[in-house]
Amino acid sequence: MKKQLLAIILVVMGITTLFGIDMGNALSVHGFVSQGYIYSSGNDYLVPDSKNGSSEINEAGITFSTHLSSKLSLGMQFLSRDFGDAGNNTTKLDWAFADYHYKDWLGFRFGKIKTPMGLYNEIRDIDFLRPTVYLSQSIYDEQYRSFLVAFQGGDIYGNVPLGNAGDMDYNAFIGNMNFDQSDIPLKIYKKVANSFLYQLTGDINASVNSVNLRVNDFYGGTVFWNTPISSLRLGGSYYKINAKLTTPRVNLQTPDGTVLPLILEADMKIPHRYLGSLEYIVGPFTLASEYGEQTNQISVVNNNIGKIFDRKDRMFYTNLTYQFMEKMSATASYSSSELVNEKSLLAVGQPITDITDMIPDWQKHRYDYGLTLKYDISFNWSIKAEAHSVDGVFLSSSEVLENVPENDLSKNWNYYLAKISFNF
Amino acid sequence: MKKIILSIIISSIFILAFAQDFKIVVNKTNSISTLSKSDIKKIYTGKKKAWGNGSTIVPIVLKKSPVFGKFLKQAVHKNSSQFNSFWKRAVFTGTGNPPKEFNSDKDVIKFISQNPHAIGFVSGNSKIGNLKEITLK
Repeated sequence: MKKQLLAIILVVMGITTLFGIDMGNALSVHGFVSQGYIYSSGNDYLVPDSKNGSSEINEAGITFSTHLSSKLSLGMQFLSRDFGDAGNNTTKLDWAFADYHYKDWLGFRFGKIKTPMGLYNEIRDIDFLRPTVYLSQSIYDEQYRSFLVAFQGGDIYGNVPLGNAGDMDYNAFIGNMNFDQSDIPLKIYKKVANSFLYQLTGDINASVNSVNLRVNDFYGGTVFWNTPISSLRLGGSYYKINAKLTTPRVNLQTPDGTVLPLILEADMKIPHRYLGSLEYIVGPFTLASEYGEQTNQISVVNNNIGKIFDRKDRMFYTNLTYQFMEKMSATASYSSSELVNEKSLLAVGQPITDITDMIPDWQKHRYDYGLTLKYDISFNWSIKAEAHSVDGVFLSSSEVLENVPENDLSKNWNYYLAKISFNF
Repeated sequence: MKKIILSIIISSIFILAFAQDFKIVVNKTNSISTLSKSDIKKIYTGKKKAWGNGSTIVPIVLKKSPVFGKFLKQAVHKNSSQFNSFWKRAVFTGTGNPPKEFNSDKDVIKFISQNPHAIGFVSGNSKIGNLKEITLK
């Protein structure tokens, strides 16, 4: 499937300078492919071995859409991506849904839908639609991608006129999502489960190679106010997840040699993740800024052990883009990730302990200053170059933890990116 | 009172500027004769998809013409790069398809004369035949 997807896009790259292939009124076909390169001075940030330079950053997608009637349309997109250890260019269904546009103020979507959240979440894999190579990793964190990118379910949407006060776009959604073992949240939860099993038994062999995550509740919504001030948008986004985490059966060895089988069960919750968003376009300038907070909690169900992890994070970014030529823009960005507090179980049978002060300050935050140049070579091609200077590591970044021993972490570090994209 | 007079003058200048650079046109059978600037912006950003009688609006653009840039700037408040990005975003998230593109006033006029639900724009000095010009309110 990956080969077919790339072959279609490569053929189109050779023959088209237009946007899409219109196969009559029946079917529209569009696609994109992008390839990036990253070099980091420390921490192998996001992509393993980026300290030696890595090209494990790419996406290719193909989109099909058709109108069955004036109100009903169908569409789907297949996506192949590589992002370090994630994706590995396996082609997956990115989204596929039916859209019934009842009125301008009320529409319905059913199927696999990109999660509406903030300014950029729905286009997080579409490089050429944003001014920077990386989206702010504070808000659009790759480690939470599986929770953020898409869901199976329903979405109600619309645009409501507000008279002299402008108008309002809204979305309300509910659904479910699937995970596989290469998803970063599952890697994190596997580590949490193994750490807890070790705490429980003192036996280093009491560990699992996989965990299962089943989402019971997932819902949320967005509201964007298009103000009477032209091109000023203000928005708010909210979502919540309740999931059940289970491990395969583990055989625990007791001191007297008895084997006790155990299936670890835990409730995983993101009780809230909310964002406030602002976008203001004035002439050649675009200001985009978002602030958010998120809480993560894990409670072990077995023996009513209760909460073993409770963490709150705060995130913020602001981007200022200046389009100084029709085809060229520069973006200055600042992104901040901060740990507000973290409580963790230090010993089974004890209440969870606030460990915030035990973590070094530079491991509780990541302040990222970036500069990007984007050049639209043509309607179909674009190229970007980006440099970042970073203070801190914000240790919830599991990739940093996984790839680098803690004593090799760098407090102050830089990373550099380049990416080229084609779309039709 | 001064504010009202001032806003009327500014609106008149704005509408005059619209009228000089381009004409917004619909099929002669369309019952709509006037639209607000906000309506035009919503039609060209996919937020207003139906006429008052419920029929689907078919917006089209005159692409290869200096009028395209002027129309986008004055009516949609975007430059061509922002307009293209807006619609590419809609396409790749499955939330919409961009307006159909035409290369000349003649092609726009021909298409709209054959499509009762279409809306488009042509050069300000173009003869629009049996199409109806929309007045901006």
